[in-house]
Amino acid sequence: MSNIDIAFGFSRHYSAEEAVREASVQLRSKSAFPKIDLCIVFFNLPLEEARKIPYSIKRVLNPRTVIGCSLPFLVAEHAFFKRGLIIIGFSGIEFSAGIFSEEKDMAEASERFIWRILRQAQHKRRSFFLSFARFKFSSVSNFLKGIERGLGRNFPFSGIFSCEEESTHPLLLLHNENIITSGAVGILFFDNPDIFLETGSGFSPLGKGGRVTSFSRNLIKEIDNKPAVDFYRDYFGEKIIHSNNYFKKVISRYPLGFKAKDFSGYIIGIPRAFNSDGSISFLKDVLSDEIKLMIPVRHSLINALSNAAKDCKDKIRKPRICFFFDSFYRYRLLGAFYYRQIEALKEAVGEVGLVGGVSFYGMGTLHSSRIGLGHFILENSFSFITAGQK
Amino acid sequence: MDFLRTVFFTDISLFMGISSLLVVAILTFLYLKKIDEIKEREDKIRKLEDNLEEMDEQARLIVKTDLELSQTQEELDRKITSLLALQRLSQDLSSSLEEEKIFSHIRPEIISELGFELCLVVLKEKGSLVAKTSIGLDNKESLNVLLGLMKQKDFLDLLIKERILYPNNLSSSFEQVRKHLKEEIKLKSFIVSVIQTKEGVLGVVILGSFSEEEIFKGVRETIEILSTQISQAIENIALFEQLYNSQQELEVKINERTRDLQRALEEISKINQLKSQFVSAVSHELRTPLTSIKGYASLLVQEKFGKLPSDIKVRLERINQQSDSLVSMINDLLDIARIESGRMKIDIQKVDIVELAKRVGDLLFPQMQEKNIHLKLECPESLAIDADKKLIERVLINLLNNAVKFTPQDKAITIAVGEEKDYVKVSVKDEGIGISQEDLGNVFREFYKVDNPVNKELKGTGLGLSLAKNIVKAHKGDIWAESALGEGANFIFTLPR
Repeated sequence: MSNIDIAFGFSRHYSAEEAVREASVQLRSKSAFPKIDLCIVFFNLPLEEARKIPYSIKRVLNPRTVIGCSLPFLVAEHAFFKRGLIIIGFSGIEFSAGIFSEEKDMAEASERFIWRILRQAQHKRRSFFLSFARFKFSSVSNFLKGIERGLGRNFPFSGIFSCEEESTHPLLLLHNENIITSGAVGILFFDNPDIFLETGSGFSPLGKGGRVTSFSRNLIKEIDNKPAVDFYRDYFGEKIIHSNNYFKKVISRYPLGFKAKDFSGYIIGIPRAFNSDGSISFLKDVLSDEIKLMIPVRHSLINALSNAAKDCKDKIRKPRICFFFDSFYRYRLLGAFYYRQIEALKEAVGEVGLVGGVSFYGMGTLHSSRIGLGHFILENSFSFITAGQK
Repeated sequence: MDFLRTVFFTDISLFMGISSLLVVAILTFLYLKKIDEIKEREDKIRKLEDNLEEMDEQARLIVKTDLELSQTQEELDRKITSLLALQRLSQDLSSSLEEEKIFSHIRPEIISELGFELCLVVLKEKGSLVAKTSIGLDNKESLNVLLGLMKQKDFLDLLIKERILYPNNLSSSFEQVRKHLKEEIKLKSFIVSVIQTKEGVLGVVILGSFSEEEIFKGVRETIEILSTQISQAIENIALFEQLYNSQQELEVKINERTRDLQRALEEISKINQLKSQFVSAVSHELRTPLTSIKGYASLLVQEKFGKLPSDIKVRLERINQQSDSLVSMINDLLDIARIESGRMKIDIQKVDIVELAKRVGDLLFPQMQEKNIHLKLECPESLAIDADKKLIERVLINLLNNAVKFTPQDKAITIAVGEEKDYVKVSVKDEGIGISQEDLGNVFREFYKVDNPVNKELKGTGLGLSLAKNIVKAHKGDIWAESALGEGANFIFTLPR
């Protein structure tokens, strides 16, 4: 087994060139390897500065592949930043990467995208897929379907997704010298490094819950033999049906929790709309027949992530880096207490490098693949990934 | 037989009847028990359902409370976030000393943390309104807002009373502004806060949101603080500019004066150099014939060329004596010239200044004895310094000579040697007629002689103190005199250790 090296550098500089230079110096000071194979980059810089990143990285570090995306908020050096650039350098690892643009038949296109990446793999044992994507909501399910077809239903997969319709911060996607604002970039890791993923939300179930008695794909038609919207109406009154603002406020704070068989927690689903026939639309297919109203408690939100971080770190023999993508809603719910979550994470990961940030929607599979839920968008949730030497 | 059969069948029937009755009774009992159990379970289920309902009721209550709490929490979070943003901005503003920099510190992320998407800082310049910062609007849109504000008659003057405007407190006088921002710019909410200094209203800060309808009270207060901070920053810059301009003027004047002084100094230095060269050249030229004059005069006085008449011998002796003083004067002049031009070689070695002072005292003892002058030495046992022994001895001789010259009969002279932090201080104090304040500053000048009866009686070269000063300066020391008329004089010099 070859030795791998993973290190990161961070800069708060406003200029991309200076930020790359500063982060590269830090990275180089932590890394013993002369050649860097892969750079994963997270940044929050204005578009005109972001465009300078690929050239600057090539000039300073000259890695084989650069992949990355912008994040509205960055976490590095155990602190939280609104501006800056993180470069994670990998040496001695095996991977293949690619870029993908939105097409008419998304399922087929994303499957082709995966096959293109797999072709470079040459029958090596693949272990983890990381992707950053920005599409219209309507394209996401098909994009994920194509990935499922290409990699298998339970293949470990994580990443960041930003929806074109809702995002106030346009997600910039980076692959080698390209920067795109719509599409996806992905990287498939092979046998080494060892990668482990944990996801969760930290939301707590509330009330007696209900049973889905009628549903179809992403629609819940009836709960306890009554129109599905009555479930929310019962808790929040008529206002939730008539006031769009109130609806938006309630559904992100009190989403539904789907109980999946063989899974101890709840999978969060945020209603997208209350339909006139009394049904509720969701972004992803409805999972099970038992649902609960979920409530965010700051303490539980923080604990869920810090426990996941501990578990995830302990499962890797030699953890070298921890990635952490949090959802924007969780960030908003924690508000001024967000720094406490960072402190809890710092305690959980100890000396291991921690990088990541707040994304819009997480995207990935549940870590317990035996559930067989496939790939879907994680809402109001976090993903915690640890990578290290096998 | 029949009887037996009858009895048997009767018993069987009886037995069966009794048994049936028993079975029915047992079944009835069991049935009733089951019914009780079912009722009990139904009761339990009902209780459980009641509990669940109660739990759900509590859940509704929790949700209601949580919603209210989250509202408060959200307001608090916004307040904290906006205050933190304001604190950061305040720090930046307070350190800005240029107007352009003030406005460059108002960045999009700060405006977003304050809870807005749009920010326009407008200042009055030459009777017109100018946008200094524009966030969330392009140039055309900014211009559109400015034109809208200018349409409102006496907009800035009206704002003096109101200080802050937001949709709910807009009086009818600002209808034009409201209509413009709400309907033309399509802002859902906005705040207009005045930038005001002692000079009057300078402009306004406009913050707006295209999505949020409500502006929290706390945010309004924060924006008022923000506009006050901007006002103060602008005022500070004005004050700084004033100060800076005065400083600049002062600096220009100082530079001019410094240049004048520099020029004068250069001129003086040139003249001094010329003088030194002249003195050196003349002295050299004088010394050669003077040596011959002195030599011949000395030989003649010793009557090596034959016996001389007594009156001629007296005159020749005077020539010989005057030649000695002339040689001494020329030597002093040459030494001064050498020191000034840096040609004098200073041979630094360890010197016991106390021993040197005593030696000089011994050397001039005959002169002191003539006037019955008592020499006091206030010195430690020994004190070593790095100096040129011969030169420092000359300084001491010159100072003590002067002291002896000006000290009347039966008085005392004190030589004190002491050590300070990093230098040695030597003073020679006499009890003579003293020096006036006017003369005190000139005594170290070459050929300067204080106009007093002693000087008229005992003529000197006027070079002793000047030479002493040059020697001390060449040792990186300092020399000065302290005196008042009638109170004696104290000549002090310091030398580095």
